[in-house]
Amino acid sequence: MSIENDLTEFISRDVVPEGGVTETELLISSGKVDSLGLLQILGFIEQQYGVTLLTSGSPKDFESVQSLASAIRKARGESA
Amino acid sequence: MKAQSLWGLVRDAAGRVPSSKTAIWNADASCTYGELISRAQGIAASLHEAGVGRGDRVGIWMDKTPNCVQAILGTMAAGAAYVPLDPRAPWRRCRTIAEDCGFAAIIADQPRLASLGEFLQGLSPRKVIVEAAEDAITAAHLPPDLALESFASAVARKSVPLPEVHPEDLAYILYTSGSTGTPKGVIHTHLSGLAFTNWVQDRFAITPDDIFSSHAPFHFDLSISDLYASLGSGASLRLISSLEGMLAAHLVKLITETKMTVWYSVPSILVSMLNAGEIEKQGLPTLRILFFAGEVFPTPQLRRLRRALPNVGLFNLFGPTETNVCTYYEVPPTIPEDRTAPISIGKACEHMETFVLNDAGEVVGEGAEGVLWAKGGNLMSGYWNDPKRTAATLVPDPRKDSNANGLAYCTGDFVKLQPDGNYEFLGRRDHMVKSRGFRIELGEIESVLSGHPEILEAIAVPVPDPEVGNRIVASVVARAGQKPDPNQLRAHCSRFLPTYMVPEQIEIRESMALTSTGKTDRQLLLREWQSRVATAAAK
Repeated sequence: MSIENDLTEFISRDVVPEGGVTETELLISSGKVDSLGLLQILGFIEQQYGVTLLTSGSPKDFESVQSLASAIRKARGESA
Repeated sequence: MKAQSLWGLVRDAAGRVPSSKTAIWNADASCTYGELISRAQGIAASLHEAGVGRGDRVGIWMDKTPNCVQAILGTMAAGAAYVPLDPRAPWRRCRTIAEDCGFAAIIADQPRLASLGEFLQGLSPRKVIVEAAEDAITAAHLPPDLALESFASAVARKSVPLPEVHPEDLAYILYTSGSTGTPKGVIHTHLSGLAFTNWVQDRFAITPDDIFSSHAPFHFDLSISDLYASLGSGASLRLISSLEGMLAAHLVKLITETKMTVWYSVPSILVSMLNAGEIEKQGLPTLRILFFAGEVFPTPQLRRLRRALPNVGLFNLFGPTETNVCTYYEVPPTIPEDRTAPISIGKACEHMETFVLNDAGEVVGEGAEGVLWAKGGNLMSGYWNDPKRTAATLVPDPRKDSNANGLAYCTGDFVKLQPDGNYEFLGRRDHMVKSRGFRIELGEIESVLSGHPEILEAIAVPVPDPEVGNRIVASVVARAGQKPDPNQLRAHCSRFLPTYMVPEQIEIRESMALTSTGKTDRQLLLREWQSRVATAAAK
């Protein structure tokens, strides 16, 4: 499973059960994810990938599943 | 001469600073004072040509960008009132507002294109301005008979002579959660907007050197001070997107990097900024004023903020949308270690008057509890399309034996006058609660849930939470033979309500908890939910 798949599955199951999300969809500005949902996602990322994006990431990293996956890879020293 | 409208206030301020000075910016775009005024006048020319003017309402359905501010100012320059719609709310909720308000025009941006066609069905605006590329607008297949114009074309229009805006004209309508199931529109005129803005400018000595934050969304009343105290003083305003607004560490960095001098937000995000450990680390040396409002600031965190920012003026601004702000309190240099009670909501703003009435309608003094009333320039003119509610809440001064004239507004907030002359906030007398600073009428959630075909009865329960104020959950009873799925019920809510109002959890009950008098036992439901939340947290 790719990071994108994992994240999409987690968010669609636990954060946005109503309708889910796609990889490229804007999570916050679409209104689908609120601040509590964002914390859930960041907790999942920390637990799953050992990466803390909240303090190191830039706002662009949090826009979509795709940008989150790139930020995780970058933080782990992989090519994004 | 003093400005007669919020638009005039900004236009006059623009005339006093270099036109090349940055007025507003966000992460992606910026706009100078010269551009702001000329582009707003372009929008105004477009609206005016379509016959949109005094008394009309214009829906602003856009993300918080410099273009959105131009749309707002352009609307007011044309003499109309702006009605900001939450771009993150379901379009159906925005549509309810559009129907209630009867928009003469709508200004929307590209992310709204996908639902704009459905949104417009059956509405008959005289103008629709869309901030998107021409081919994207064509591809959206909007109703063919619309008077459509691209934002780029509208802002490029030459200014035209426009009718004078009067202080008593409608300036904006902010929709807040409504207890009967539909949002209610709070009307403010230029007069009330200016009364409040001028108070902020004078009381806090705002100058063109100030750099303001704009953390609150434009449909939230905190935005009024952000927009007009800054742009009406020739200062600069950094717009913070909904995404940026959630990233605590980023926000602290932003305040430092942009040399921000005035910050205004709900306490929840300040608590997150403290918890991220960044405020103490950065020290925020340029910040001179920090306003918070919208909910109670937990005292231990406020004490920490006070210590971290000893040289910053910390102010608790208090008041519902109906009054803009009616009382305020400056947080003292130290907050005693043993204090656990929430910080005071202070005294009336210098140009406002407040008093407290008990159940018998008598004015009560120090130490007695009662409901806070407000009078003065900041008051709304009423609720849109709802004269009954307006007449019930905005009433002739009710004080017995008083010769005072004018209307007074009952805030619905229980307070107690302390010996030092400041009010202590005790709670609400109705079912309105706050979550992350957003005002929520539980009745609106209950009405949406009860509208589901499988639901007989629904009660929304606010579970107090130290970080966000309240977490919203719900208990429902199904109709006979129905077995609703909680996730589907949440999905149903999210079609009609913004995310912050969608219950985080929904329990299906056999029957509703009742008190001995047969009323819904909200306290019992709350205790049950609290023990469930505590059990879940312990696992």
